[in-house]
Amino acid sequence: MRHLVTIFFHELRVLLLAPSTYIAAVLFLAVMGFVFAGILESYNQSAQDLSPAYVFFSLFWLPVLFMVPLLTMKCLAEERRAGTLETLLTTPVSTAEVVLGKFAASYTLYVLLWLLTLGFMFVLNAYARDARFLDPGPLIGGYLFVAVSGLLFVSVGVLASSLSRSQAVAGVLAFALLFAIIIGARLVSELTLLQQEGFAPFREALKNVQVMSHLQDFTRGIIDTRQIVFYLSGTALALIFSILGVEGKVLRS
Amino acid sequence: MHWPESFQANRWIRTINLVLQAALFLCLFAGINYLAQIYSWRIDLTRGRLFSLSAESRSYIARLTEPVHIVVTLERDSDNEAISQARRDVMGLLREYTDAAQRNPRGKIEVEELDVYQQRRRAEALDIKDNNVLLFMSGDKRRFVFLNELYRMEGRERKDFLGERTFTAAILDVTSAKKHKVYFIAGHGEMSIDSVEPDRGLSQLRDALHRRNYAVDKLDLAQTRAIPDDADVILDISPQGPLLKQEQELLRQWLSARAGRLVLALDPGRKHGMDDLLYDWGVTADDVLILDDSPDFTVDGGDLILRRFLPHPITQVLIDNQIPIVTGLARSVRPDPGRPLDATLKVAPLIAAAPSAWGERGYQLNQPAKYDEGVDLKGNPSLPVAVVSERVSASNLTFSVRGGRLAVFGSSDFMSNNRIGLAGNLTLILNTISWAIGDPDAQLNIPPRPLERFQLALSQTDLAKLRLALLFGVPGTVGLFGLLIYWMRRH
Repeated sequence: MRHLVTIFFHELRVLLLAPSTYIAAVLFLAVMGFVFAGILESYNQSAQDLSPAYVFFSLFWLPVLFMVPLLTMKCLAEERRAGTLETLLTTPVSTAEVVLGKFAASYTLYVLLWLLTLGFMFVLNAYARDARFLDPGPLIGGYLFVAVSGLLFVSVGVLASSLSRSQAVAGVLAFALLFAIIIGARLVSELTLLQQEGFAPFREALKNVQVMSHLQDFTRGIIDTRQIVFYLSGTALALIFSILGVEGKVLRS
Repeated sequence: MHWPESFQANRWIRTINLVLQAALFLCLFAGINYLAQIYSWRIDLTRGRLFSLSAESRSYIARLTEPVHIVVTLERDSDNEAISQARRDVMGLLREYTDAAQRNPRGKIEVEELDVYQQRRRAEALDIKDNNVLLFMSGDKRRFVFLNELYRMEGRERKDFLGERTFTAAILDVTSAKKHKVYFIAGHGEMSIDSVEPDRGLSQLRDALHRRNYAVDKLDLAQTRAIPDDADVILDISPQGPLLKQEQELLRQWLSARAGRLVLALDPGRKHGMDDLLYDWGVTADDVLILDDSPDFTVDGGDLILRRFLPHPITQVLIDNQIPIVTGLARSVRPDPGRPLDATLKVAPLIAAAPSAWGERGYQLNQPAKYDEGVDLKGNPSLPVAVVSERVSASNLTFSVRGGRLAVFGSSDFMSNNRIGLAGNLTLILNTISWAIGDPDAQLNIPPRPLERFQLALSQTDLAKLRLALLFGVPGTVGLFGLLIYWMRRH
């Protein structure tokens, strides 16, 4: 796995030096800043029961659904389209190292983008004059949720990228898979068919994978080992599928 | 080349190998998550472990011997902020209960969400008529929990979340082998729990008690000649004639020697035959009719509106939510000014009429109703219409001894079928019964969870600056950094 670090730093350097990364970051922060400003205006109009950080993180799905596909759609699809993936795999670099290196670079950028939103909290702190607005519980819990769940979301993006030569298809596939994970579980659990007695274990399983309830726990400062295991094992599964997918595509070509 | 050694066969074998690997890893994923469900921990990082169950709740849940099923009908995407907040608080708390019950194989707690309008058949089977209630069930025992039981109010604002205390009490209630027994005395023309009459019927009160897991029955002391051993509280609602001496004696003995719990509702103009009992307990029920000519305290039909409550567990929710009581004819009931000094007897007025009201002594005479100084009764500052009296332990004892409790109301109309749904009438009688029995909620030592409110107080200028800082400050900084990187690369 010694080549993993080389690939990781190479990919990260390419991302951090590319002007498109900064354009995407500025637009991401502008959109999230606009959303956060809207949230704070409601706090200025009337008292609210939830901390601003809680409300901010409850909109995590917005950047996830749009930024993660954009960050990951290129990583393997472009290599396959350009034919450089097969060339890369002829060097003493394993498929796993390539996939993990690209995943690590995309995940690092994803986390960096979210960490930049800490700037919003500092701005809020300067104006709020109330220490409760920067309650560490929801803040730490929220960023922890972003970090842990981001592993799964980025790995799903990498998986989508490994399944197609086209960046557009990879992007849309990533969007669809992330939508299914974040919102689909709740929609499926509400189906009338599943309310029958025989589906009780399936309903119970769906209840445990509802991402929004995980967010509620994290932002309240509650760490549940089941949720951590779900995200870590899901990440491992998506990455393993990506590796198997790349190996299968190379095998066919 | 034999087919098994050909490139095509090799590709098939490697493809099948990949598919099998994928299937195996999927099974491994499912297995790991299944084990994680069984061997799980929840860690509360908040100061004071704000969102975790108390040790008391956990110990009760660990000792459950029957499963509990909880049905939640709080609307999922409600526009009403109060309901949305309640749903967040309730579902978050119920996750803690289901998690705590996982380690008890006999006492599992299951939560079911139900929309009463979309799942009509299921709602009818459970006898749930409206959304925004919770139903706790275990075996054949049921208990409803309503939204107003979940929060402590100050004015119109929610101050504390009382969910854990309420839920633990409800779970204990439905898993307890014992149902609290409420007896209604009959035989003197009292209001009847079997009657659906609007003015003299208590059928709605009976149904409300059933929904709260009370067993309800009638009691004719003249026939039974004894107080049943399973009586937790006895009510005598609007006797039209006096109780016999031996009936009164049975009640006196039960209250004093067996720490009984009695609730009386004595209408004006009716002899009740309980003067000795009332004297024992420091209460006097005056033979007056409360009248009030102030429009603020009477409705069009002449019913009295009672808004003056003294702080007590029975009336606290009415005080916090500013809910009045609406009743018909009433007499004054007050602590007896001539009662003997007794340190073990605590007597306190509960509800009072308006300062403008008075107790008319000549209500049976055909004369215009007006206050006659020296004849009629006037309050100081207002006339009580309900009193509670209880025996407390002597001060030199280091432990509490259960004593009798008596609640006396000067009117029964607020409990009748046509008035019990008005204002705080139902809440008042239910709280009185609950207090008389010894409310299990109050016995639980579970602190409420304070609710926080967040508000910014920014001027328009500050708000505009905040908006600019968020829209341009942080993104602009990153943009400048990006330009710097671009410039450095170019040169």
